[in-house]
Formats: sequence, C-alpha cells, structure tokens
Amino acid sequence: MVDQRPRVLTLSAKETLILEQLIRDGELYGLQMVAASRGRLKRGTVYVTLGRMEDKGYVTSRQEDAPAEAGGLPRRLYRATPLGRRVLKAWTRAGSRPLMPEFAR
Amino acid sequence: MTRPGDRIRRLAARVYGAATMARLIDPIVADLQHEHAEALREGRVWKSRRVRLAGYLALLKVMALHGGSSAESSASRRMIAYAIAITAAVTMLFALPPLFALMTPSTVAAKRLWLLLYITPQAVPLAIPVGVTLGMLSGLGKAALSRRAARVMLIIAIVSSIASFVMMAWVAPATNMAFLETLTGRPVVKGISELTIGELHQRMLNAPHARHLAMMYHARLAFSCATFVLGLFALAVRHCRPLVRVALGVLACVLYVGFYITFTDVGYSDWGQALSPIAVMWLPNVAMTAIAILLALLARVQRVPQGMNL
Repeated sequence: MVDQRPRVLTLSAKETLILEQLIRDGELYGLQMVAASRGRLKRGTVYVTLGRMEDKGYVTSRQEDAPAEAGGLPRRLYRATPLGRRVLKAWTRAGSRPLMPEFAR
Repeated sequence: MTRPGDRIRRLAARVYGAATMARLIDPIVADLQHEHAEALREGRVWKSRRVRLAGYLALLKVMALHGGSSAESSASRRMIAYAIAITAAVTMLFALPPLFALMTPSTVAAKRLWLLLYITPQAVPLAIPVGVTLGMLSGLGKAALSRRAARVMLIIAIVSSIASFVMMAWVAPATNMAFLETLTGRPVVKGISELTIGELHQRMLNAPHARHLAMMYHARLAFSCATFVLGLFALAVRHCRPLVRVALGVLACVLYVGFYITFTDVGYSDWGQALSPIAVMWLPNVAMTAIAILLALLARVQRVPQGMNL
C-alpha cells in the first residue's frame, strides 16, 4: 500500500552544508565538497549523503564530459535542484524545524 | 595497466547492484584514480600513496556500512557498534582484576594510569573474539538472513583476527615489558610473555625440548584465529532466534577462551610433556570450525521458507 501521508522535508547538517556549497559554487565534484568542508564531510560518506539527497530530489548529478586524463573512471558532478534551493531557503528561515512539502514550493 | 581501485571495484561489482555501484562505489574509485594520477603527475610519490590508502579506506567503509538496503546498513552499523562496546567492556573485565591485585594503596595516580595503559593490550586479544562474536550476533537484527550481512560478518571477523595477531605478536609483549618495569621501577629481564613472536620462535628453535615455549608460540598463532573461527560459528547460528543465537555465542566464547586460559600453562606441567603443542593449541580452532560447518549444514537441511529454525 502506498503511503499517502505528505513527506516531511528535513535537512541534516551535512545536507545543509552540501546545498550551501552547491548553491555558492554551482557544479562540484564530491571530493571538492570534502576539501571545502574543512573536515565536516568525509570522502567515505559524502556519496552516501549525496545519494540520499538525490533520492529526496535536492541534488542532481551527471558524469563529467571528458574522460579523466589518465584514463580513470569519469567523475560525477553534482548540482542543487530548484527544490534543494527552496528547501535550504525555507529550512534556514524556519530555524531548522521540519518542513511540510508546501513550505518548499 | 591496472589503476588503483580497479580490482576492488571489480570485486564490489560482484556484490552490489548497478545503482549502488553508480552512486557509491564508482564515484569514490573515480576520485581515487583522479587524485592518484594527479599526485603522480606532480611527482609526489608519498602523496599518491596517502591518496591510495585514503581511497581504499573510504571504499571499505562505504562497502561495509552503506552498500546494501537500509535494514542491512543499519544492521552493519549496529554489529560494529555492539562489537566495539562489548570488546571494551570485556577488555576492562580482563584488565582490571590483575591490575587491582598488583597495585598497592601507595601506588600514585599517575602510575596507576600508566599501568592501566600498559596492561590493556594484554586483555584486548582476549576481548576481541568475545566482543566481535557477541556484537555480531546481538546486532544482526532482522538482517540475519541476508547474504550481505553474512559477508559483513566475515569481513569483520577476518579484520579482527588480523588485529588480534598484531596485538599478540608485537604490541602486548612490548606493553607487558613496560608494565613490569613501571610496576617494579627497575629494568627487568624479558619473560615468555614479553617476547615478540619472532623472539619466541627463535628461542623455540634454540631449545626444541622446551615445550612451554612451543605451547606459547602456537597459542599465540592459534588464538589469533579466534575471531575468524568464532565468526564462522556466528555465521552458522545466525538463523536462530536472537536470544538463542546470543546464548550459543556466549557458550562458544566461554568454551573457546576458557580452553586457552586453562591450557596455556600446560607446557609447564608433567603430563603436558606428552602432548603435541600444535595439536593442543589448534584443537579449539579445528573443533569450532567443524561445529560451525555441521551447524551450517544442519540449518541448510532444516531451513523452512521463513528461516528461524534450529
């Protein structure tokens, strides 16, 4: 049975940090976010957080266009979605209290 | 040419689905390869090694904790947290009584702290098998039947066994020595417990009839496998009801650790002279592995569709 209750929107501290970085800098690699976070994001878990944020619709990702110079795997670039931007704005305004979906519209 | 992370990625691709690979594993491997190549281009060999190590650690962490469903991931985290908590508690249980027995009321607080620090590594190898086995069995939760939970259990057991070996082979002998010197306040001659595994092996070769040396040597090697062997046992009973599997885990730990505590000094006794050190010290590993295989086969035969038998 599908859950019909409206989903409550929340932002963890890490999600807030990532959204702030993405809104400020546009498109970023995971490792760039780790480097800019001054230890608050770890390379082992940043992609777990980014994956969760993609599920929530806060960020979107794509593989980089050109293959890496040494022929390694292409890296993934992340960008904040309009929903992510609105949620961060509403979240900051609401003083980090859980938001009903309509707040982010 | 194999790039860093390629092998572990191929291994992960056999375990995880395409979505997990694309969202979790591949980005970390891509970062690792990019950073590594960049460090090599700049001629910074040490940085490239550091990057490789950090990348592998990140991969292992993600694979162990976040690669599966949310129930499996939380089970993995719970198993690790319980294992750490129980190991810490059992370490104190093994370390504190001898410490209190040896200290006098006049021992100053700073010295007590150093003594505790030095005696702890001796207790850790005994505590790790107990903590990891019971931590795994009590932290499994509803993920008991998943194959991924089984793989995580096996990885935890192998890593813990390696850690136990390092502690028993090198760390504990060094801290034992420091403990004795701090306690007596003067230099002391190394006893059997203060010899590293290499020194013990050398003395064993020089004195082939000193059976207590062989007993101690094989005890250290065999007990290093304790977490792995008890991990196999935990895997075999993971389908049982939570209380039953924890009770079986406690029983296995008591028998296994009890055997080594009781029999480590057997080489000094008269009747111990007749026994083969290898046979005595490796017996619990052989027996526990056989029991684990038997239980796993029984569980496979008896398993009903919903599991939870035995």
